[in-house]
Amino acid sequence: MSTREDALEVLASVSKIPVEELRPEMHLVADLSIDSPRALRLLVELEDALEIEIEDEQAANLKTVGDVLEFVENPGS
Amino acid sequence: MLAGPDPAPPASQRKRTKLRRGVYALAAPLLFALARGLWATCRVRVVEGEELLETTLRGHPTCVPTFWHEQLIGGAIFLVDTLRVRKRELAFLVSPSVDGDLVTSIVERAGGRVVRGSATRSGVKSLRDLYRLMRKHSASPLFTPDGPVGPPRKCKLGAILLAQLSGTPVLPIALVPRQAWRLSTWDRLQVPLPFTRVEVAFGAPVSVPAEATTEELEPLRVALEAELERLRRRVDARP
Repeated sequence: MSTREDALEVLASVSKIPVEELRPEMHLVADLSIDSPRALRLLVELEDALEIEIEDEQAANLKTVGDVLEFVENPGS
Repeated sequence: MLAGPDPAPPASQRKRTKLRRGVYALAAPLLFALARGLWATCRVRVVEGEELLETTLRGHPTCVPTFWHEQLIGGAIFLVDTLRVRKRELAFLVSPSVDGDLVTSIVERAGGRVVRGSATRSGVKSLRDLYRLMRKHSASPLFTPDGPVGPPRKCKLGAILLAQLSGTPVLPIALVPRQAWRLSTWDRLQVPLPFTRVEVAFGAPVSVPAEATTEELEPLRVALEAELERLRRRVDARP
């Protein structure tokens, strides 16, 4: 699977919304109901699945599904 | 999406100079020996809930032990020893600052594991690092839920979030020396006086449902705060 697909799987698993229904413009909090506890789990699972590190400042900038996908495809940028 | 509390207090401006590293290299074993020696003279007695510690550890590879920051000195030594005899390890979150180097050296001498991070500057990352340490080494992360800067005896959410993420319970504890120096820090940190009696109470473990929402965590945070205060008052009020 690609990085993007892995990230979508994680997002789907944490939000309980099927991958097919996830859209880049969907807001993590408003549309996916990712509150603080789920956000913590999302970050752990993204880091584990993709073998990346996400700093708190970077996490704070992830607002939408598209932000997450863009970040995991270019974690160093 | 998720960030630590804001605003964070100013970071330490101290530098890792060669001199400071040398002083800390000398100070760490001395401070460790001093703390150990002082603690060895204290008479420690569990007055409530010892069975709660046993049942918690029997049912889980780790737990999240918590007590107020003011109890940190005695509490840390007590818990390192208490877990070691049960073949468990204790983990500490230590500031990445230069002063944290000294604390790290002391904690590692005592047999604790260390995660370097700041609860105020990189709180979410620190929680994840502590969680990974729990998974990898079965170490129980010590939490002072009113730390690192208070307000005193007001519980923040970190211990609850970590318990939820790891699926282990929070174990509330109070540890009160009968006689202690109280430092003029925000928490009026207790330094037990030599030969004093130290009483310890364990409270009911707080289990956190994996799917609980932020709103559902709030009553658990309030309950933990109340239990920590109940235990402290209970031990404090003993003759």
